[in-house]
Amino acid sequence: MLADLSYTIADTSAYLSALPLLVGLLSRRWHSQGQRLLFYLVVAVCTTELLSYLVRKTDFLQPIIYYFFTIFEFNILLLIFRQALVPFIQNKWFLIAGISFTCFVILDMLVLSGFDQFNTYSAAVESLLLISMSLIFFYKTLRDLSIEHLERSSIFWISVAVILYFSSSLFIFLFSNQVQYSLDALYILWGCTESLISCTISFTVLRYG
Amino acid sequence: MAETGDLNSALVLILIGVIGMLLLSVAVVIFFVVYQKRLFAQKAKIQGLEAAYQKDLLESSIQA
Repeated sequence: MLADLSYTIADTSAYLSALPLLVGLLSRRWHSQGQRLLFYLVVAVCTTELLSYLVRKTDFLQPIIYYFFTIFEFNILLLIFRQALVPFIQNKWFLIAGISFTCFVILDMLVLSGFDQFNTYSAAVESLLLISMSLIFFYKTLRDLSIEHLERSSIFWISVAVILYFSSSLFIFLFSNQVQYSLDALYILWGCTESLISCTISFTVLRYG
Repeated sequence: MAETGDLNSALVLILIGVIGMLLLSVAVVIFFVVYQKRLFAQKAKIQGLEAAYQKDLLESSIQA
């Protein structure tokens, strides 16, 4: 029963990732560079889902796709946060973070996890870095009080989506190594979170895109 | 027996995950409320300063 439910939710969340893409394609009115970058991320998510579905029967291609997707996802989100956090954080730190993380993913792919395994280390590090970035944004916003209408700010909704998605992602990666027999439960949580994030990004693109 | 144990641990994981997500959602709402309060307080402070400045200006022009 739990396995069926986990498959249904995982499938639904995969299909729901097409929702922000559809919304973005239908309303291509970009107010900011951040929203454009967010749309590129949505395109990358859908492409990765499609590619991983196409190569699902091979042993090694699917993890490699996710390694490259992790690099792309992190750097796109880093660029989005850079627009909101510079000059609070100097530009050079974003450059250092991007280069260091890319090197770490390559190291993970070659040495730590290997080509044929999923990128658990780099995904965990990515989650930690992006959660930190999101918390720094919340701190800066609360300190500066620079946004007049917080509920209309796209970067605020992106930060909410990032903190919700990556905290659940970190939880899943931490527990997936410990509790192998409850993977169905983890897939249910992940599916629910991913669906929630797809809806949040759709809302952000639709309302402010 | 083992299956019941698996189901229980799965339910515990789901419960922890759901509570975690709820806490995060509540934290976002609290952040929003605190932000609005601070913003209104700042606006009130600026309006108060502006009013005091206008009053000073009026008084000095009357005295002159």
